Amino acid sequence: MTSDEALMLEFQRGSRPSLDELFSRYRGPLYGFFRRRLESKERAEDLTQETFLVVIQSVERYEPLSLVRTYLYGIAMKLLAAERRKHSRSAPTESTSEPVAHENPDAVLWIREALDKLDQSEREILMLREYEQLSYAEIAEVLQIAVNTVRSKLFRSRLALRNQLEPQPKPVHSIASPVTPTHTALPGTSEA
Amino acid sequence: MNMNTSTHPIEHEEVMAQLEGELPQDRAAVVAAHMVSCDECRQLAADLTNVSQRLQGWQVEIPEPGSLFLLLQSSGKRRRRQKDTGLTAT
Repeated sequence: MTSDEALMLEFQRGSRPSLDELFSRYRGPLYGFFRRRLESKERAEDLTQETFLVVIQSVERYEPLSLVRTYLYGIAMKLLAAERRKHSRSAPTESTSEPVAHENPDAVLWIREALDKLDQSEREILMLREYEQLSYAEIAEVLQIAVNTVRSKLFRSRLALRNQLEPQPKPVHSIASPVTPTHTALPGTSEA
Repeated sequence: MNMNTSTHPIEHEEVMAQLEGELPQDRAAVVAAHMVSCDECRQLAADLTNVSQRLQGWQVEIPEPGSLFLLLQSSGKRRRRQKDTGLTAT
């Protein structure tokens, strides 16, 4: 499979299929990135497109200094920050706001409430790790912070969630897949 | 978690980093060897894994394949930028 970085360089040389392939690879992940962070499904779709519009717009200046996915999430993070600034100045309208669709409402409610209790920086780091599955170094690059800060905040946020998890009552219908306390690799981890 | 780093040879964060493949190889081996005999670290690893598994319960429904791309294609802005950047179909 052609690497993201090779596709980006081919796109830079004018290859439209390379852009199509990059879009195909990252459309879903970027949509998920925005969808988990925004109330509006439409804005999540818009910003996914805008991320690629920025890529297209700036392709001539692109330099392969980092992984393409880090580059894409860096753009996405800036668009998200702009979106949040915009919304902080004007309340969202009802027509654009709808709950995030999911298969397990109780589990998602717990997750959203738990994440909301974290400070913004810890929440962002945790989400980039768990959902975007970025490495510590990639998160550091996207957020422009030190890798050690990523690790310490990630650890702190997970401990906070663990502590929230402990006293939680477990109604029969709340969790579809019971969690077993066996050793399992965390997402994005490949075990030899 | 009351482990004291002055008496405990492994930092708590290292247990997490080890799980995620984020430690240098030599340090990962030290942490892995330690965990064989440390109930507390194994429990911490299980707790961290548990948290991650719970977080994976939040899955997002992705729009139908191609729908975003069709929207992108129909975007006037994209067409203008495509023209500006001289994209060609190869």
